[in-house]
Amino acid sequence: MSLSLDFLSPALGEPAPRSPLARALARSGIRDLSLDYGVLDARGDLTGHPMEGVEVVRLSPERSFVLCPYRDAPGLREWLEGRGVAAIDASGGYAGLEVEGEAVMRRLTELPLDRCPAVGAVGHVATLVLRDGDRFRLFFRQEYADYMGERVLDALEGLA
Amino acid sequence: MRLDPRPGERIDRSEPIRFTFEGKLVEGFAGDTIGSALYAGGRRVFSRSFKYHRPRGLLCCSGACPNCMMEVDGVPNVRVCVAPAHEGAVVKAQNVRGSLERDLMAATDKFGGPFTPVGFYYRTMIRPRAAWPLFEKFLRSAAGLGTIDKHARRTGRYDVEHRHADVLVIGGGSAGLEAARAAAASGEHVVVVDENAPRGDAPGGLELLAPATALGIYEGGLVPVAAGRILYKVRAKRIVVATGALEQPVIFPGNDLVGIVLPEAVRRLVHDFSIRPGEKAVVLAADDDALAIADDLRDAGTQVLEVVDLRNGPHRISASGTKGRLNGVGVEGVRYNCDLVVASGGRQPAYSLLAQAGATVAYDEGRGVFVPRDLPANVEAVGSVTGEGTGSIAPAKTLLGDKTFVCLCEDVTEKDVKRAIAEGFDSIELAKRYTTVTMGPCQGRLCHLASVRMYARETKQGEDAIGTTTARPPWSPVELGLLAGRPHEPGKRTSIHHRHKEAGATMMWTGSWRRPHSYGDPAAEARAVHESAGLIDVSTLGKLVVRGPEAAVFLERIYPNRFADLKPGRIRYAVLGTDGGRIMDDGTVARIDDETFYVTTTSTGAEGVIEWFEWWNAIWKLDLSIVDVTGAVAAVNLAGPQARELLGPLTDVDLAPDAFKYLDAKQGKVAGVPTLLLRIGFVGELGYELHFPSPHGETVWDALAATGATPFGLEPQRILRLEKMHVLIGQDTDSESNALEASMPWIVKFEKDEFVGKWALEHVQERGMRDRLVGFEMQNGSVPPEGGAVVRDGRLAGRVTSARFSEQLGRAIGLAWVPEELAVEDADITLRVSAGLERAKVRLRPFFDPEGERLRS
Amino acid sequence: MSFLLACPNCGPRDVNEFHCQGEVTIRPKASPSRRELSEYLYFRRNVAGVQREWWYHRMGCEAWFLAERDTRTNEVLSTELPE
Ligand code: FES
Repeated sequence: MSLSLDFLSPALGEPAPRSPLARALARSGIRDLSLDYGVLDARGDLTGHPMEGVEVVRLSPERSFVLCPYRDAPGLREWLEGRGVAAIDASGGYAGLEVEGEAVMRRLTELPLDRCPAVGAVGHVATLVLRDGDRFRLFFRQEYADYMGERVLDALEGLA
Repeated sequence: MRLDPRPGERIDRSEPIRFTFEGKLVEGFAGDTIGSALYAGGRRVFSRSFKYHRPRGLLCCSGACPNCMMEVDGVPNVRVCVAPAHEGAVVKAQNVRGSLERDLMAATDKFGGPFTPVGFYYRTMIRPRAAWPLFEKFLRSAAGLGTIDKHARRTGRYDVEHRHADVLVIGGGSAGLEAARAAAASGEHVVVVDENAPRGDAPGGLELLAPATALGIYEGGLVPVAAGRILYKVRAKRIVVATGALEQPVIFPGNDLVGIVLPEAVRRLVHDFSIRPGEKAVVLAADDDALAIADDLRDAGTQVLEVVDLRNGPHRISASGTKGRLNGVGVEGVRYNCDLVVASGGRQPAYSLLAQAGATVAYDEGRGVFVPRDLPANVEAVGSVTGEGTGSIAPAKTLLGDKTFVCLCEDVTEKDVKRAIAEGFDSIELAKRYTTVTMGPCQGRLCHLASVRMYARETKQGEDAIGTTTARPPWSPVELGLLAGRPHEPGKRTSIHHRHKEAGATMMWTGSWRRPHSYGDPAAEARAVHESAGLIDVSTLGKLVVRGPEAAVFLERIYPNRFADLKPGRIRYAVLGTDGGRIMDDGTVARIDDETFYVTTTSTGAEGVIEWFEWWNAIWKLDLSIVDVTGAVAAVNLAGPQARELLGPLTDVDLAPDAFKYLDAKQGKVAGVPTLLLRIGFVGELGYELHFPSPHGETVWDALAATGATPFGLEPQRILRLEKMHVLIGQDTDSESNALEASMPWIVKFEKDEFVGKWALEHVQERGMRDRLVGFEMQNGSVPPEGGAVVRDGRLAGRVTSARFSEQLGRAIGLAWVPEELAVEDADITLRVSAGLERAKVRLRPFFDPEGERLRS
Repeated sequence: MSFLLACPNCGPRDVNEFHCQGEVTIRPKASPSRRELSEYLYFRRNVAGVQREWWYHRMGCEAWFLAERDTRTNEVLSTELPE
């Protein structure tokens, strides 16, 4: 059997995936987005490919993150690849959470919050920040989940 | 002492506040500072001086001097004249033995002798050497500010907050606010920083940080602002400095007595806190504003005995007191009995922040002060900090004499400055370091001008020739907690991390990763790998997908090894080198399909390798993408003679030896999870490295652990790989090592047209080997230290990089760099172990399973 | 250090979001002599003035770009993606 990159797609697993933030955010009331969103790391021009129900964050002329429902990532990847866009399923690589209010963000980052989406240092960790009004969705590498969970909860506690 | 209610006072008499000072109850009102409440209650001595323990009282009442520093709620060096009084505060005097009134250490002032002169510890106490610890002990307890509790734990929070502003105005006086309003009116986002507690709301459209202190102006318009327990990091496009001008003390004998104050102290005591500052006063001033202070004093019911304009001097002035408290002042031979002297030597622009930002500072002969010039781009100055509006002030002319203090923070007298000059410290920068003048808590606010003037006078030069000392941040003292921020370290954890903790693993840092050192018994864990099967979490390995029509070309060029001929489904060991031929990292490359390669790197090298790949391709511009999937993929290695049997039931992949060979890559499911299986082995036994999506980390680990495989940590892995003589990059190699001398010549394919490092390696080949990385086996059981010496003819000839006792082999083994001539099987080498030398034999082939039969089985 | 660099993709960011690879060097084309090689590997101009450098936006878009920086003041005069 020939090889593929299926081993990158958590949604192809039969057992239920586990969120890297499950422990850090337990009983915190903070919304864990890790298993809500699939993340594709896409190379090439996406402008010619309108997609429903996904968010595209352009990092550079050559590279974008595509956020889609968690389960849809493998299918969307195939669809994009079929249209000549190289995409890697990086869903398993990112943890995500949602916080509310500029105040907590100001404790975590120097990013100009009026210019989202953006990727930059949040709590000293490279983070994709999406903003909807007063809500901020943060996506960062899952290996920082424990640290970021602790860091965000701590910042919120300081504001309480 | 408290006057009847006055219009505009800051205190709210309907809200009493109570706190303790030295255990005794103090009463004040909301709006009081700790200092004003103490003063209203009759306290005049607020501190003891740094060196001589002389009594000191409120001088500036505005947070600019060292005189009122106390310990508040355990925090030392709090300036109580500006620290708001709060209910239940616990306030204590600092740097005293006994009480402020009777400080036992005050003897240092009386005895004088060796303790008086400046720089005495640089000279006097050098000999005898042995006595220094005694001196030091005495000095440390005698000199200094508050004490901190070394065993104290972090209490409360210190936070950092980021702000962006179009305009940051530092100083909320009239000039600052005017500039702020103008900017706000034109639609800019304006932040104003002011040292004083705000009165009422901030003017519309402005964000006010107060009471707060701007600590410095850094590159990129970054201004850290300390506001209580929050450090604001303000990033501003434009910075307006409106820090005003600072009233300067007058230099005359006895000028540090308690009861000698600056006009600002009177203004604040009278107008803000409705306190009569004293009963009988004399005013000495060198500018019109300060002369007008007499009216404020009369207004508060203080009798003004005399007003002296210092500009038409020189005047002979000297103050006298009992127990450090002022009881009179003599002016031109006339004595006035008084408890208050209000003295101002004119106003010096507070230019420090501007100087830090890059402005030059020049002496303005006409005004008699230093003024900022040539401001850097995006920094402006408004108000009296420019020198404007400080009035035309000639230097106050007074005569000097005994106990004339130039610097109150560091207890430096006029005599000390003269002595320093006499000893040859004739530049102001050197003198600063020798006398420590300007180096105390006031950071030169109240002593810099005076010391420069004294230098000018003594060396018979102009002030402009003397110049100023370099202004450095922070411009005000900061609590360390504020700089430390929150106690979090961005550590990385694998998706299986918590399973290791639950299994009782001892964790260790490897780079920014947390990894299991072992689960309690490294030798037993290594034994399990040899005898049955072991399980190790290797999710920390760097993992990249290199993909595109030119992916193979790229790998050919960046690695010394060959990859164009690697077949899909096969794996090859890969050593990455620099253009200097040095080893950078190692790992494996598996070919997924014609255009897709899966590359692994070392755990700590991952980020560097990704940057390295991206960098070369930013230059080469080959048609491919490099995607970091390090965190997306969890990886575990199942190794040991029973690995095949244990894994079989969990997977749909055919594990039969001829179907799934050594260095094959296969794809399938393990415990229901899509997995890439790599048959490689770092530990020398039959092994499968399983790569699968991180969110399934615990699922797969649990399934494998349930088969009875023994979890093993990094320490047993280090023993196992050493038995195989596998090189650990960064442990056995350093930034000087190349692949040829590290005994890996087979990975360098000189026949390739080009690859990174080819030229340098060709030169190594040409010049011949100098040192070589070899294995060694100790002749007795002792384990040499890593980093220990290889000795030949009594000389250092190489070094040990790894050494362990292998239970499997029953011997101590290791790797070492030795001279090329010793890189021969069975050669005798001598290693330093503890104090003595021990013999070892050189080995060039793996200690364990040299033919790799077990690996391939 | 707290100066700002304008990442060509992300805009101005604090220097700590980046990794500096040092001044731009010229790699020899063909087989260099020992001297040429060591010039390339070990010698840098190290100017007190404007220098062209490689920078990597490790906390952001993860792209390499070139910057002209005054080494005396840390003023970044321009940034651009490599041609
Ligand atoms: S009196 Fe408090 S700082 Fe001067």
